[in-house]
Amino acid sequence: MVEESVKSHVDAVRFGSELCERKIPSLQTLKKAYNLIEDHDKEFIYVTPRLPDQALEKIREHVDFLSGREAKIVVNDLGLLNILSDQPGLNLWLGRFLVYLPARCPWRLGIKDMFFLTLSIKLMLDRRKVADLFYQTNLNYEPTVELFKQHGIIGVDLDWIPKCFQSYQALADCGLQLSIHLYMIPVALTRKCHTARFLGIRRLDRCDKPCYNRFFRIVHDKLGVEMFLSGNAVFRLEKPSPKDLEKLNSVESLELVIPINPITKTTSYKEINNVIRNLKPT
Amino acid sequence: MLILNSILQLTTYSGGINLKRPANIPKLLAPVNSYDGAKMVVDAGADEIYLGVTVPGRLRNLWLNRSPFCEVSSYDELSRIVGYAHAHNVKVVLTAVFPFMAKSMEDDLRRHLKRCLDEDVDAIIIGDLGILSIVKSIGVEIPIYASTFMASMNYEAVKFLSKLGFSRVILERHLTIDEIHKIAEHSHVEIEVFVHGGGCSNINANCYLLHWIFPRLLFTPLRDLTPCRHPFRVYDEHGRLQGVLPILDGFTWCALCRVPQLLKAGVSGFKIVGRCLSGERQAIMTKAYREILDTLAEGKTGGKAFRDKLNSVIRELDDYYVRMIGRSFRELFCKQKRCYYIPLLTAQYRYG
Repeated sequence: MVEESVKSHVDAVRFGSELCERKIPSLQTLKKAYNLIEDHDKEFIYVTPRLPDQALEKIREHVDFLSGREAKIVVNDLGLLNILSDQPGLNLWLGRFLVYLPARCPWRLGIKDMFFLTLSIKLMLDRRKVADLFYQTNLNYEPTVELFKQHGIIGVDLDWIPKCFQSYQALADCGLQLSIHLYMIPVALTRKCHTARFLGIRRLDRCDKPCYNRFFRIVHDKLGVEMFLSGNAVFRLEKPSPKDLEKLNSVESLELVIPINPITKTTSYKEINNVIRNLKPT
Repeated sequence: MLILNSILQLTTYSGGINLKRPANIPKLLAPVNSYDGAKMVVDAGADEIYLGVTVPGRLRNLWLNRSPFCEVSSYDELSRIVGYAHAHNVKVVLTAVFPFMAKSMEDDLRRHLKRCLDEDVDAIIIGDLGILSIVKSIGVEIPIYASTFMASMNYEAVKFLSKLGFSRVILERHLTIDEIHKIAEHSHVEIEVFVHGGGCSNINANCYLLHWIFPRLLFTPLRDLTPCRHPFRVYDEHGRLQGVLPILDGFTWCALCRVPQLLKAGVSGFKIVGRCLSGERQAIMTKAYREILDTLAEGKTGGKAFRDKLNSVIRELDDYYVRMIGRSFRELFCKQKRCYYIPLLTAQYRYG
């Protein structure tokens, strides 16, 4: 995957996993990926997941390697943030699993649909009063942003949800750099891996990570809501458009993150370049 | 005997039943959503009760992880609950209700929290760093507990939260007992874990399968409150249907058998989930864990005495569940191994 990414027109390559502690690379693999990405003049970004103690110890070694190299690290765990905020020479990014964003909910539009489901018009009107809050994040409150900034956070990972772009703009106005993930919006994350259970894996410490190649499309039997199960995470898809991208024009520092996986069918450098081409305004 | 009881009452640190418990026995926290329910769980032996209070105004309609039906309905009711609990040496812990905080919520939430804190609650559970800043700005000096919405999974996270002023951290449910042990060993603050009910399939802070806005009124019976337990049509990467099953259901329920291990792990609080349940059910669960903890307090940490107590507690739960829903506790949870703090659920998929 890294080899395909470096051949494409991207400016930076993200390496690591934001989802699963079992996908944390070895130090040797990390070094190899770092050198490859640097050789191709791309920026190296290291991504980390939520971490129990034993995985945190593994990441400490990686941090030692990266700390002299001005690398960018995406943090999805408060414990890792605690360690990294004391380390000089790192650019810290708040991962999307530390950002609470109710609009990720796959049936968020249910607020409107409730009109048909309830007999109370008042209830429906009341719910509309809070509908705007579904499109805000936990960072749309200055003391929270300040606290993270005090701990070295300079940027934040977000999702491609056009209705939220206004609240993203507010984060940029607070001085945060934004990275917006295209296509895949995380709906749920577990440590009791749904994929492993479905595939009959009995012990997670012996998991051979089928999720690198396999995924499942899951459709709610009665509601028809479609989601994707990839390893220990559930996603819903939202297709980006150049028109929506224009809404982010005034954001000074914006990064778009292209997921490389079989769900979005972006697995080669040609497909990555296609995504970039399709996002350019016509 | 009456005199002796009075002395014991005076020396009791906390507790619904007036016995002094050994320091290594975790506090038992029970959920409450009404005054009547509070009376039942206090009488059933809770050391602390926790509750949310409905936020007046438009925030009443912001249903994320809870609906107002799971909360105490007014400040007056909160006041009565605090009065009853304190009269029985039981602490009252307020939950700050929302897992996130945005600017436009600030005024309403500040007013609400100030009003609740005026009612003499003993501690507050917070699941968002923005809400922490509000509570600090109100200037009330009561212990602040970190909710499971902080998703604490390692001791560095606990350290981070303790630096921010949290004196107790409620750990994420998706840990193993060994992992809990390591965290508790290194931590200088109290460590609390969930032991019963609602052991979510996903990490709380990262789950947006929001129950309370799920449009279920169309077709869903009341028992199916949790979307992660619903059947899904599962297609593989080639588009082939693999089956219709509750593939996202990693729900766990119970830690009765694991209480001795959790005790050894150095946990200082056991929390029962169920703010949305009836007072009767909240009390039944509280009583079950109280009996188990009291058995352990007597030094019966293993062997026949503990097993006998465990069996008798589960038998009582069986009777209750059969009476209420026609299926036994063992059938619903034990046989399916719906046990807290296992790394992976391996039981067969089962819907309903």
